[in-house]
Parts: sequence; structure tokens; C-alpha cells
Amino acid sequence: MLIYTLRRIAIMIPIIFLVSVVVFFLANLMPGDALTGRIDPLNTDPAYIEEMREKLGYNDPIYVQYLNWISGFFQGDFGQSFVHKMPASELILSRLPNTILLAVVAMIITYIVSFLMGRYAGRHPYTLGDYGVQVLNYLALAMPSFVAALLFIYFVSFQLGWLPATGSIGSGVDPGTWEYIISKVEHAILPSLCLGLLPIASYTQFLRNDMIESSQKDFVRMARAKGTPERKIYNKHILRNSVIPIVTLLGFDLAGIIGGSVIIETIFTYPGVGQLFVDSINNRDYTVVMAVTMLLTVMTLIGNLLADIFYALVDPRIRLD
Amino acid sequence: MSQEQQDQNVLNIKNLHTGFLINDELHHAIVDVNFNVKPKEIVCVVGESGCGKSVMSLSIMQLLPKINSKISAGEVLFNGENLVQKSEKEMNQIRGKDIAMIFQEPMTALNPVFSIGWQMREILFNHLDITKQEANHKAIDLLKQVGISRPEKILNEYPHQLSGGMRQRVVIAMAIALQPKLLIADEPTTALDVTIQAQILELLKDIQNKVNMAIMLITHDLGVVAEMADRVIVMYAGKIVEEASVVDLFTQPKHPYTQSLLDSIPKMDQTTDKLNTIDGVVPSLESMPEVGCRFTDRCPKAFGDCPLVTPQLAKVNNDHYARCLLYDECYSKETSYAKEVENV
Repeated sequence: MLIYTLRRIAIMIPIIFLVSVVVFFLANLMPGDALTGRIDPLNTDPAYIEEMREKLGYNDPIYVQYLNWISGFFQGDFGQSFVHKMPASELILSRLPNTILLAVVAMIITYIVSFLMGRYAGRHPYTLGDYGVQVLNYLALAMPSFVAALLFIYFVSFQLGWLPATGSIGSGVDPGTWEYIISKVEHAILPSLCLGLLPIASYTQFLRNDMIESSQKDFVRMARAKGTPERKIYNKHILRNSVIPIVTLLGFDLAGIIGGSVIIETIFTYPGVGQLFVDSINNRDYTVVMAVTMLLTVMTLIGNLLADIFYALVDPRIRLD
Repeated sequence: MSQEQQDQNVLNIKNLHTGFLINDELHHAIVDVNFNVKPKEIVCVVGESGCGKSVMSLSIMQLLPKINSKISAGEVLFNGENLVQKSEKEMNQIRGKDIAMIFQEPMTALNPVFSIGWQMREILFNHLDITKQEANHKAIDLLKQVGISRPEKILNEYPHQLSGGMRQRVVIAMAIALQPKLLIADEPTTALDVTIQAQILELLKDIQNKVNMAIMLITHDLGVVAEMADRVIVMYAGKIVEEASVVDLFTQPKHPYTQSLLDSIPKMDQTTDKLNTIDGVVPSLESMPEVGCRFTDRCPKAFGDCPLVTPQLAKVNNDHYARCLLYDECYSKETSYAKEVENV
């Protein structure tokens, strides 16, 4: 398993390299650069802009620019953000904890809710409760997350006033206190729920269908013939088999949730990596855009690796070597 | 058969009818089944695919899916207790302990995500109040009994690491774990290759001698019947068509269906280009004829009465029962086996 993991990590390097080429050239194909729009062209000496371009290396051949960027990338230097006047890496790191909190809360909600709903529906298929769960599923699958986000904000925040709708922290709360942690989590719940909506629906459906399928397997009949009570048949024999696909999805989720946060964080004005990404695109802050994209790439790769490792952990038939 | 004799039987099945709901209509897969299994006896149930053998075994275990099937009439008396009326909880105490079952597919009968040890301990924990360590000792002991040479190691392995024959041995080990009085084996060797088949049958016979249990062996392989059976029950389209001792059945089969089955065994001493077969197939549940003999369409000896009169299972010789209008006893309910069972 260790050797497998190391080999997989080794394979990641060329993939990251290839993605970096695509990311860099796409970013450079976008119209304008960090100097356009930021500086009033009528009041600035064009010679000065030209000088800045030269200084920043924008006039170098594109492959030289790429080499400069990628060599910096591997040394942990993601370049400077022009808008925020600080290293892109520092900028991302300052936003990352918020997004990670969002992702963690989203995953916790996803797994708890979909496990409970899926297990119930799988245990009692074709009953009223099952149909209710399915209606909720299809609703969640059919509704775009930004619509769901607006509905949540309107009803839960404005009508009921239960949870805050914007930001990541209440005003006037000191870091380190208990209130601070509560406030952080409170602010994360609504955006997390929106992020989790799609996975909740698909996992619930996944678990339900797999449980129905597993319940007709020979080993279930065998367990009944051994005198195993029905409750244990469901909780052990069936669930242990049906949970395999769900657990492996956890890895893929990691990347999906961070990708999804781009939209959700913007709607909730939640200061995370996703919001930073959108802002940076609007401001043509390419270094940050490229750095965030690379971060997403690495997260996806790590997610896939985790999925494979989880698979081997929960299914004895899978051996990684 | 006297009342006393019947009380001693491990299993008495009386007038059993089991049906499946197809489009909200109950279609019987098993009709009017009467038979019994004596202690330490090996009874073979033979018949083509789709004639109700497996449904019968699941009816005994009360393991048929409740959503779409139903035992609509009859009794399954195990040690004198009617299993049809037992609650799920009561059945769970009987299943695995007093009646054990071996299924056709050893490849899928074991749960792929639990170790062999876990699955063997499960049946022990279901019925005994013992510690994990004791259960492990017992499991090792059982695996030795079924001829597995490295039981300690096997306990920690998973089903996919074992061959088909090994898995079936593990299944048998579980089945005999609590020394059941009756073992129902539903085509236990069908999925295995011939050499392993012989070993498994040998093993079953061996164990049966040691632990004194009765075996109800379901098979479509007459070779297996000849090797194992004391008594044979031949089923066709959900009904028992013949019941006899193994010697009687092979030497003087009464029912044309049994005769055809025996004819379709390839003979070692004859060279023929073509194997004998029975034309046609078992009618499906929906197309089962209401009256008359269900074998009429395929029967080489069918005559005028066959599609019109429903034959009864009746005694045609000493301890030899058949359901065919070639024998006068089968015309009337009064002379039938069902009546005989009713009277005790």
C-alpha cells in the first residue's frame, strides 16, 4: 500500500506539470493584464506602463514567462498579487482555513444526512417514507445550487433569522473565545448546506439503491438461514457492503466541494478561496487565478488518491500493489 | 403410517401450497406437497429447473420473500411444531440451529467484506452465549471437521481468497456448527467441478454419520441421487409425482416423467449419437393447467384421461407412491396419499 501510494504521488508530478501548462497559457490568453483597468490610461504616461510591463516581464517571450512562473511554483513562490500587494500564496493561505471549514462542515452534513436518509429508504423501499426521501432527492438534484442558496438566505436568514447569511464571522467577536468558534460554525452552516445539497441527494440515492440490491444477494439469504436477526442483517451484512461506494466518493468530494465553493462563497460573500478566485478573475489578478487553479488541481489529484486508498481500506477484495 | 411414526419424523410436510404474486394474482409454485423426513435419513428431491424444488426448501425455512410470496395452505411440521405459524423471532432461533441450509452458489453465499472467522462466529453467537475466543476455537474445530487443513489461517481470510470447493466447505462447516437435526442442501455441488463434487458429497455423508442429522438434498443430478439417497422424491411442475426408495426408483420407476428422466442419463455401455431428452419445458406459473396431469403435453404415454382428470399421489406399491393415471389408485382422492396423511 505504501509503495502504491508513493508511486501514485510520483505519477502526480507529470500531471501537475501538464495542467500547469494549460493553466498558464489559458490565463495568458485572457485579454488584458494586471496593468489594464487598474491604471487610468488617460492620466498615466504610456511610457511608464510600458516600463512596468518590461519590469514585470510581460514583454518576455511566453515560454520564458512560463519557465519563470513554473520554477517559482515548485519553489513555493506563486507570484505577487497585484491587487492585494502581497504574495499569492500568503493570500490563499489566509483564505484557505475558511474554505476548509466550509468543506469539512459540508462533508459532515452530507455524510450524516445522506447516511440516515439512504439507510432509512434502503431499509424500507417502496414505502411512503422512501417516496418522501426520493422527492427530496430529485428536488435537490434538479435545483441549481445558487437557487437553493437564495432560497436558504431568504427563508432561513431573513424570514426566520436563524442563521447569518453573509460573511464568515460575526462582528466584534474575539478570536480564541468560545463565541468565536460558534460564530464561525454558524456562518459556515448555510453555505455548507448548499454545497452539500447535490452530494446529499446523490449519496442518499446511491446508498438506497445499493442496499436494495444487496438485500437480494445470496449472502443475505445465507445470513437469514443462519438465524441472524433482520436488524443485524441490515446493519452489518447489507450496510457494510453498500457503504463501500459512498466511502470512496469521499475523495472525489474533496475537489468537488472546493470547486463548488466558487459560486457559493460569492453568493454568501464568504471570504474563502472561491470568492478570492472570482474576485481575482474580475480584477485580472492572474497570478492568484493560476495559483488557485493549481491548488484545485492538486486537491483533485489528492482526492482521487484518497478515494483509491479508502476503497482498499473498506473492501478486502481490493489490494493496492 | 401411524401417529407414532409420524411423531418421530424430523419433518412432516402436509398439503403444502406456496404461491407467488404475479400482477396481484397468486400463482402456486408448489401444490399439494406431502412428504416426511425421518431422522438420519437422506431424502433427495429431484426435478428439472423450475419445478419448485428450491421454493419448497425456502418454504420450509420460512425464507421466501414476504412481499411477493405466500404459503397459502398446509403445514410444515418440524419435530411436531408448525413452522408456518412461527414468528420471525422464533424462526431465527430455529434457523441455523435446528435446521441448517446450504445453498447452490458457494461463490456468493459468503459475504465478501467479512472474514471467514467473522462469518463463522456469527452463527455461533446467534445461538450460543460464548466468548469470541471460545467461538474461534469452535470455528477452528469445525473447519477441521470439513477437511480444511489450515483452519487458523483461514479464519482471517476473506471469501475471495478461497476456491469454490473451500468456500462450500466453509458453508458446510457453518451449517453443521450447531449439530442441526435437519440439513437442507439446495444443489450443493452444482456450481463445483466434478472432482470437488465427489469430495463434497463424501464429506456430507461422512458428517451425516457423525452428527446424526437428516439431510434433504435438492438436486437435478440423478448420479448424486444414486450415490446419496435413501429415499427419493421426484417433483414436476410444483407437485410430487413419485416417491420411492432409491432402489425402487432406479429399478422400477412408475411415473413416465421419472422413466424419461432415467432414460436421459447417458449410458456407459451404449454408443448413441443422440442423448435422450424430454421434449418441451416445464410450464410457467401463469400457464399451469388447472385440471389434468401437468406432464400430459410432454408425456410419451399420455392418453384420453390425462388432460381431463387431475391425478392424485397414491400408493402404487409397497412404500412407492406415484401420481399418474396409468395407476387406478391415482384417480380418486379416497385412495390418495393426501388422504392417508389426513387420517393420522
